[in-house]
Amino acid sequence: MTSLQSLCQVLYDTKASTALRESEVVFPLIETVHVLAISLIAGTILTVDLRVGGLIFRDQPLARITRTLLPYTWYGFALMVITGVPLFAAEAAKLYANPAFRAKLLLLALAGLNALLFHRTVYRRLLERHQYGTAPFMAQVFAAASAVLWSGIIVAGRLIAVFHGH
Amino acid sequence: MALEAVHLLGLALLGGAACITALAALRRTGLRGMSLAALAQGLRPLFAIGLLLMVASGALMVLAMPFKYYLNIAFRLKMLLLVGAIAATAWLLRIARNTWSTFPQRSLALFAMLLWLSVGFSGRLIGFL
Repeated sequence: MTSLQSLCQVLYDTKASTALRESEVVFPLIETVHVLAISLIAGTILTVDLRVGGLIFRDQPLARITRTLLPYTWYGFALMVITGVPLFAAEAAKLYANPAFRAKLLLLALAGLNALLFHRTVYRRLLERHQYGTAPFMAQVFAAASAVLWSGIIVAGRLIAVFHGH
Repeated sequence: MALEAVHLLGLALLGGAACITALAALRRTGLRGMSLAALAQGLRPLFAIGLLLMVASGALMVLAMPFKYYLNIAFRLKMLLLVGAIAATAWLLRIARNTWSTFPQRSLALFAMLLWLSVGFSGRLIGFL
């Protein structure tokens, strides 16, 4: 066993994780909140992506949309982490081997990287010169990548149950 | 499986638009000069496409295995709550003005949001029963 795998096994074997995993109400409840919170995090991100792509809110300055929605994205992210960590802990050993879970984490990392790169580079230029009208090509690439990655994260998340216990 | 994934993507759009509108209405600040009506108007494509995806994937899932859903109590509950949520939302849209300061409006808005949340919970419950 690799050290990461044994770490997951240790986490899986703790009393708290076992209790959570075997719970009839708490685990399903946490999982349901995790799924419903998709609307908050993915919804706000997709809205900004669509604005950068020039498909919605064309008459609104870019900064107004991003600055209005960014706090909500962070609320959604907080919810995802608060629910996601216990969900992971409860099933850690099984998730280690789950290809859908690995894909989801990889896509999350890529989405984070995509957002970071966007904000560090193109976004500044957008705020200065492209508040209205069509965003330049690179901005649209970032937005499209974000939309594809987050859709992938949602699908990968759904597939976790399919590969569970294999 | 694919239908459930589409259902979730629809949720991201529809639920996202709903959450954004609800949060904006409740906070009453942070809209940075945009009116609530303009926000809701701009989100219309998300509402429309999200709704389309959810209804289409939902209908296809039920049509594929009607008895599985008909006998599922969570599904029946969800359909009931869905009717309630749609009714409450329709009523809200009828009486809503741009200002959200009146108590009846905000109470109705909160009630509608709770109903939609219940729709979401009962929907997930379908998979557990």
